[in-house]
Amino acid sequence: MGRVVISENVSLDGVVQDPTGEEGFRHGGWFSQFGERDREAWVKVEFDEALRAEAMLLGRRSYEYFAARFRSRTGEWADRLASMPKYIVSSSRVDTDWGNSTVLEGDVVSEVAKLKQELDGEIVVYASRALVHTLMEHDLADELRLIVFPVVLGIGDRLFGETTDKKPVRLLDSGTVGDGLAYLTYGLL
Amino acid sequence: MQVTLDGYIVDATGAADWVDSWADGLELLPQVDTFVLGGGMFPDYERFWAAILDDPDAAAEWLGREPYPRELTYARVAAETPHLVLSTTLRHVTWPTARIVRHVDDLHVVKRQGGNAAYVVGGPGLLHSLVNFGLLDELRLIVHPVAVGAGTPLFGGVAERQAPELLRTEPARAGLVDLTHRR
Repeated sequence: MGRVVISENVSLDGVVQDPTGEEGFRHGGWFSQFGERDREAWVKVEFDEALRAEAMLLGRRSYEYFAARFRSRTGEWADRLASMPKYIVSSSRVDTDWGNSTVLEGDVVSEVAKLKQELDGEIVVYASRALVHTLMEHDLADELRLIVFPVVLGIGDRLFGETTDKKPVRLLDSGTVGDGLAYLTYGLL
Repeated sequence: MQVTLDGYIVDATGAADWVDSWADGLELLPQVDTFVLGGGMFPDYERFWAAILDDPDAAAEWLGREPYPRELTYARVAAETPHLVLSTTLRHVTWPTARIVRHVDDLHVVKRQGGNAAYVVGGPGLLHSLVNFGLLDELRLIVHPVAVGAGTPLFGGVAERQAPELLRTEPARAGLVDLTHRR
């Protein structure tokens, strides 16, 4: 049985929009809000997570975004991401040229439920805001890992959607990444 | 301030039933010279804490339980500590140590006086004014392990991007996390 782990970088007010400033959002680029030591620590957390993970689960836009940036990169982290099985939720055509990529074309909820049955270990979700909302709303996510950047934006698309019910979560761990980023992990089920 | 994991201070119905005690915010602070509050929340605030002080039965009914010892402590501290209430419309306050101020500039006085901390109790409008006028030095959040989906977001009215510095992250009881940032 696979476990779906949502792993996200968020601002202190929960915004996930345009972290690198490439999409023209007025407050984009907040991701660079950290020093060199924090960046190294951040890379290590992300790399360790990728090593532990069994597979990646992404929305189409996030897949294309990461594929465009990692495909040509070399190094342990890029190699690991390239070789890891990747599942893409999309109803339209996707260029699956990042290696080991499979498109899930059917109903998201049943496809992800099936994937959880078939796989063992962690299925990590990066970015993919719309997919995250669906996973949360349908209780398909098992764990939430938030790296909280020390920045408040006031506006922007937020990680958490408008859920119909209050959703209690369970604190698993809290700490920091480097000195400047808070790291909070929650169990969802 | 007490906030849900998805960043709300109250849910869509205006309730915050995840909050165990409104006294908890004060416990994060060592020594407080002044309490600062917004006019929107103040009438409920003074009724609530006056009941804790003077009418424990009414307070117990309000809370659905007996007041905690830390709530009695809060009420006593609050009764002895000056309160500044920022409001353009509030005409009258009954809390003995409270005074209405009409403009956020009047709060500069508090900072010039130095001394210990001024505790910003809430609500969101006041917080946004303090952030937007550059008056907030430190932000301590009690993050609750619940996502409520909708409501009043803590940072909804922040006009400009703020880049504070993380000071501490500490787990507290019952799955809460205390997150402290400074300007």
